[in-house]
Amino acid sequence: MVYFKKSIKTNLPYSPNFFFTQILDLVFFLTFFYLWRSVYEDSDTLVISGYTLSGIITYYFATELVFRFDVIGAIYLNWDIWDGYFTNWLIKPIRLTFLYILDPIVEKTLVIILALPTILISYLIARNFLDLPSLSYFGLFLITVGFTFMFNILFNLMLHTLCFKHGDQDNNIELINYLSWLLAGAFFPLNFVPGILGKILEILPFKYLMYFPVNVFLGKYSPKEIVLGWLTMAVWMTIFYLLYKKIFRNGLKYYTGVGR
Amino acid sequence: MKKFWKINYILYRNAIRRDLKISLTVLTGSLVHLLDGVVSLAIVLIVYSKTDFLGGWNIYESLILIAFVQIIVTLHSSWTKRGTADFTEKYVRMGDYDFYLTKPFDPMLSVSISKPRVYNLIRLPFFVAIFAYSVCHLEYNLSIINWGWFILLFVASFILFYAIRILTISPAFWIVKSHSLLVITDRMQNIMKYPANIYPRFFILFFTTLLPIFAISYLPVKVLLFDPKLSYIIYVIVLTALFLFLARILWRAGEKRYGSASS
Repeated sequence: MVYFKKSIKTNLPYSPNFFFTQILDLVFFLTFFYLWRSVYEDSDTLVISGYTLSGIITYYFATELVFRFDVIGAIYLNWDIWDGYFTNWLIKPIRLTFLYILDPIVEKTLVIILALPTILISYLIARNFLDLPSLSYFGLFLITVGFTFMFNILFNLMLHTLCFKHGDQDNNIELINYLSWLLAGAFFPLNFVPGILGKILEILPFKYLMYFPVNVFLGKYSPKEIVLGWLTMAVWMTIFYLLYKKIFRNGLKYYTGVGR
Repeated sequence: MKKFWKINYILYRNAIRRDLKISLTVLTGSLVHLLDGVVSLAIVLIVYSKTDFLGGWNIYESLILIAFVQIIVTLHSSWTKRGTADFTEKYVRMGDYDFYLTKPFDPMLSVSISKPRVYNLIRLPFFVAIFAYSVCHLEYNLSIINWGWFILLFVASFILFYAIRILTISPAFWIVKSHSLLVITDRMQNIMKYPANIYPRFFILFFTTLLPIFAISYLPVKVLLFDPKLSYIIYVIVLTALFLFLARILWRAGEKRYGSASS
């Protein structure tokens, strides 16, 4: 709790920066909103790959919500190892994994609060096109987002630990995250991808980063399917955590603390 | 002018030497850039698998637009993006701008071209090829006049993009550090990639006048593909001159505010 409060205080001076970035992120939603509105109007089609115009606009609205939990830039393990600052944490009587999980939670708590006006603006612009979920489905969505957030944190922590042995992973982490968002359906619904490729994307675990929580918001899954999704995510999170622990323990043997 | 190109040559030569030493980092950095371009393209292809026209433009016309935007953005990201980014994040806050003030060369240009990233050019052949492919598949031929005006507007768009970048990062002189200033031009690229007439009227008005990103993308491509209206051509050129002038004024005003103190 002490670390949480301290981190909030540390991040507060940057809040205008966070806030302005959130406003600028509105561009993504607006672009997709007008793009797909134009597509549906030009094609005279009511349903495309199972999505009505309201469905697709709601898809991007929910995408905007889930994107706020993107942890890239909010986990500092790679940088700490690479510049030797990690030694400071090693000598302290605290659980390091807990600390590195807490960092993105703190930052994203602040981001979510600052993003509320932006989300409200998105809602006001697109309100006539939004299919908002029932209260119970919204609750299921929030739980799913919690799972997604942890899934993303553990996946990224695993990537960060590679820095112990292989040096700076900044570019690799950026590349893998970008690829993950693409495969997760962050830019378009996965069932818009035709043929076998679309089916492969639905099997891969990346869909739990975006496609799955967004479709929970849209009410496209039954409660049973949602629980099954949570269990699958829990299995993947366990795998990521075990891999992270293994790489972390091995990696410590390579850590010199010299920095660059 | 000769001095400007000579400095650029030296900076690029040094950048290549540096990048060769960190080839793996360069490779992954290049892949991120390439992937970003591929995603833009994938979205357009998916959109056109559902419709024949977007804002009245067919797939090849839209591909020309997207390729044109990516070419402009890629050239900037190789030439001026890193330098201007470092200015926003570090130079004012740490007092490093002193270094550029002491050089016998314009500080604004000097900062802008100081950190070229050669590997960002990896996307260039890809989008030039898409541009050429789409032009070849148009159902009509483009006249020499269209090409002539388009080349002129290409140069103007390139300068206008730079001027907007300078205008959006110059507030760093006053607010010292803000990552969000850098994001402005990055985010605007998303809007530029599609035909302007998919957006509502107030949107088009705003992005053609106050933050004229449609003058960088939509208008030059419209001049290439359709009847080249002289009003568009004059507008883009005048706007470029005006924004470059404003960028210069704002930068100079910012320099007066610069205290050289570091933190």
